[in-house]
Amino acid sequence: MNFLTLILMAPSALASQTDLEAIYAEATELGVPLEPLRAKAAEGQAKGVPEARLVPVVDQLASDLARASTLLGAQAEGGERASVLSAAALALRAGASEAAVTQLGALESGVRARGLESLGDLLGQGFPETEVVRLIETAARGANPERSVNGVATAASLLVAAGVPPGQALEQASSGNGQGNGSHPLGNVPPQSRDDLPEPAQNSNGQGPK
Amino acid sequence: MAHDPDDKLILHRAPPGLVERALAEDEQSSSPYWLGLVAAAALVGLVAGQLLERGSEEPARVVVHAVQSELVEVRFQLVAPEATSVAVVGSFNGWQADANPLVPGSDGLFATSMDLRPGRHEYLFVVDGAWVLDPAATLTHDDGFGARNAVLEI
Repeated sequence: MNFLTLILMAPSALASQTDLEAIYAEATELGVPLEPLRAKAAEGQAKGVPEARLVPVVDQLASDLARASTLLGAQAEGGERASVLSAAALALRAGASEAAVTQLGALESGVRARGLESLGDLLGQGFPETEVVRLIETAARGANPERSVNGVATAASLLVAAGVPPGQALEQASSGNGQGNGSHPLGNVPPQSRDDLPEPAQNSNGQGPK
Repeated sequence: MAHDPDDKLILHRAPPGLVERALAEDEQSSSPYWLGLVAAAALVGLVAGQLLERGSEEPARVVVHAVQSELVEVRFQLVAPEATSVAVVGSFNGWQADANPLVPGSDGLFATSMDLRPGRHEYLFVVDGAWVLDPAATLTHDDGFGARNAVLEI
């Protein structure tokens, strides 16, 4: 990169940094944590994302976080505020309804963020929201909620990849009673590796979850 | 063999035929991701959890174990015989390509370990400067910039 290139790039970089600072300032006014915004900006910059694309993504995230903050209110306070709001923003971006986010925002604090993240990840895979919410709540009420909620999305994805119908995959992922997992020394944990999985089912058609 | 009651083993393995499929698709596609994958990986493994069988490791697996209550040791492993350098970048290291290089071993194996907080992390491999998705990742997530990140739940 020569000096002329640097000169030509400078105004653009300066403008985008100004844009980012404006987003941060507005987020601060709204009580939105800056950590996820700065992290997203850092990710984009590290990936070499053009500034014209980076700023709107960070701005969109700020909007999602603000919306999550409004929805969750006191459910996203304290030390886990940033992680809960980030998880809720992820879920909203994946298409979660405000009702679903609010419902899972009422989970115990130790599993609230993970539940919301699982909601986003599972919706992103095409699982139906109603079933996802119900099963995350079920997992969160289990004897070991942190362990049960954590990994639900991975387990469901693995099961579907192995040919388990999506409905069954969700049930098994949340209950930890997946096939091929019975001999696990922990007993009631979801399958979390391909080694835990059953052979592909007869009805596997290679399609994603419906 | 005695097992700690809290022990947990999570194994991700590249599915059979992965590389063959990647090569076949690469011939029909100009996707930079697939180019990177073909250049990089014969097999990728990533595991989070705690040792089930301490000391029992297989070349195609990565074993990760808790080192203290707040952190989990995660070992990233990539078999990339054609690669000269491999690193892992992610939400845990600010996406800095020079933060966590994988150390080359035998048979094209690159590996590194790091301590991560339990939770959800997004990551990619950087193979000879190309940012590539872990082909063995079970979960991926739209990064908003037109690509996807691998998701690790620990």
